[in-house]
Amino acid sequence: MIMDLQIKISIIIPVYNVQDYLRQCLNSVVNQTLKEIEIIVINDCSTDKSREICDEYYKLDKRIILIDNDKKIMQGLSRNKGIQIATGEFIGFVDADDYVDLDFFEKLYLSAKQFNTNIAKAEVSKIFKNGKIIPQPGLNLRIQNGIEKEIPLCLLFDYEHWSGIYKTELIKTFQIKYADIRNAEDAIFLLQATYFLESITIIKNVSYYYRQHENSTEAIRGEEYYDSIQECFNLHVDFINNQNMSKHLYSLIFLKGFDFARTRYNELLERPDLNNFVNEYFDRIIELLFIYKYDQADLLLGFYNGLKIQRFREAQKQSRYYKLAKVIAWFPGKLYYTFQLLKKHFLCSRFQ
Amino acid sequence: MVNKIKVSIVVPVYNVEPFIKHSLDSLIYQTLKEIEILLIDDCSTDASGVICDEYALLDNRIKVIHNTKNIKQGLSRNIGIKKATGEYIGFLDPDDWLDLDFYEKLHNAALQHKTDIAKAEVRLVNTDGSFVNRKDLNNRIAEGIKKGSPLFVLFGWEHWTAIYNRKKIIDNNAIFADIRNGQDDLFLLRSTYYLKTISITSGIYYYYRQHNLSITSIREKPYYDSILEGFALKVDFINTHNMSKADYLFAFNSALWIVKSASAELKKNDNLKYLINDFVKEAIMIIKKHQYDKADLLFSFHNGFLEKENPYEDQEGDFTAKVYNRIINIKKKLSIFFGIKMV
Repeated sequence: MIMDLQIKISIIIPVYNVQDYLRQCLNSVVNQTLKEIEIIVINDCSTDKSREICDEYYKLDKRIILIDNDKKIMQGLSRNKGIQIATGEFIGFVDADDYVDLDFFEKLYLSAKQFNTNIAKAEVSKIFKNGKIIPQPGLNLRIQNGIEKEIPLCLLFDYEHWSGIYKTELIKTFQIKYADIRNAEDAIFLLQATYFLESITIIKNVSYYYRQHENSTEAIRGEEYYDSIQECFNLHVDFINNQNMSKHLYSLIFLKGFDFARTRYNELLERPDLNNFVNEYFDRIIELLFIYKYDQADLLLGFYNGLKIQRFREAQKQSRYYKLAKVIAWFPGKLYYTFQLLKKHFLCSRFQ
Repeated sequence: MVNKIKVSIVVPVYNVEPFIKHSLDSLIYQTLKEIEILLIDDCSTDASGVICDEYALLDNRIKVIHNTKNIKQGLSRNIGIKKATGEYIGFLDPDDWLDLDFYEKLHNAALQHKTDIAKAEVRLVNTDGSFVNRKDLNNRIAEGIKKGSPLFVLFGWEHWTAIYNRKKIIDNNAIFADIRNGQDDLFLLRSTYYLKTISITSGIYYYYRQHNLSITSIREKPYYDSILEGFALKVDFINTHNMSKADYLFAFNSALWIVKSASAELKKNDNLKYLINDFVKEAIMIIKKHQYDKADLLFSFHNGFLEKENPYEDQEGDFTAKVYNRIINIKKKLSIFFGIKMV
């Protein structure tokens, strides 16, 4: 029997100080049912036992390519290195503290081939600290609904770049890269990938398991984090400023980026330790508005319309009917929430 | 015999030769005789100043003040406010005119209802001489007062249709701003914030002439600068004075409306298009002074922008608003069905 040596998927794993989870991750990748894969592990100068674990697997499995960085360059650039040397037909990403189902890449590959799309995407589950695994069907539902309404793909993805595989050829021709920033480096990759690679298949019943914990770079949010958020928005707009697209789509992508920076501002308001930084951050977001490519007068219109809505809400709140309306609107939600609580307290043990 | 002056009328005069006689005639033949007329000649380059002096010779109630240099309408009116001695103070633009019983009825109304402001109606005069009644302006104020809104969110731009309690104006320093256009907006904001009571008289008119020579129709760079200056002053004023959040938002919003429409105008003006980026930048710097939750400001910008751009989102807004609207609709239908008015 002649073995087909064509590599179907290159899996890129950036590794940095994840000794507790690395084995689980590598096990899930090495034992994939799809055998024609290459596993590119990029060790970003880990200071714990991660490097030794990588070595261990490297000796056992010849499909693993192990790269050591000379100096710490963060996840984004590490992944870029991986993309450069990838030879597979598709590229997939797994973070070293997460893991995937064993038939994850097989099913993705088959469906991408079957429907001839540039992206194939699976489901996402979150792993919480107490070991609970909760699936996140909302992410995919949103994309599916959006596609039915013919909304462009680049508006639908959220943050789950690792739950899909992407056609290597296109990634390389359009020079789609991760950004060189500390956090949110994936946003710009995802934007460009979904903008250029347009077609997608979404599959069910296989999942990427995404670990929520306090030590990940996401969770430590200092001034650096917020700097990178701004940089991210800047890159975002730089990219769309140089693309030919309708004003409509442009504004929507612009707003999506702006919204990201804005929600982080809300977060910042609840951080007493970063009190001095809040105003500076606000000023910088406002300055970012001026990179809007089209009519600046629109910006004022935006403020005016928005304040008008806000004023309407304020006037509403003063009305006597508002309370009644609020109770009615709030009732089913509250009921659902109470039910969930009850379930948690009394029925949880039985279901398990 | 010393007549106590009931109303002082301040008239800033600048290059209005074709209209000023008509205007001054309507003043000196007022049925209320205890008035004083302060003509502030702002270095007119035509015969307006001379006409003022002629009228001063005819009628000893007229005082003419010649400015040494051109200081624009706003500051001229401020000079008038300082020199005035009457119980109430009123304003007249020299290209407009009044009904002859205008000040008598207003003064009576102010005395009768013991209010700080007494207001009449406006008629806009087109270039062909036809009138447009602006009853809606007064209706709006009357309705607003019924609902309990403060006066400063109700008054529009028609400051000259009313007389004001002079003592309170001076005590609270409610004067016109030193800007080229929109000084009257600031006067109205300041004065109506302090002078809280108003009586409205219908059936007497201020005739407001709309023509191409008026200062508001010549729009150059200084005009747009003064719009921003006025906006900044208004925001400063509402930031430093006590008011409820809803009123604050209303005042802020109506101030922003002027800036917004100016920017839309600027966009269409081919000669001044290059100004727009700086204009917007400066406007947003002022918007940053918004006193309430800045997160709200960003959010509202986002929403407002979205409202215009996004065809994909659900336009109807959140569920609470939907339910609220439905309740209001049911209320309306019920009241029609039973033929009674529900509050």
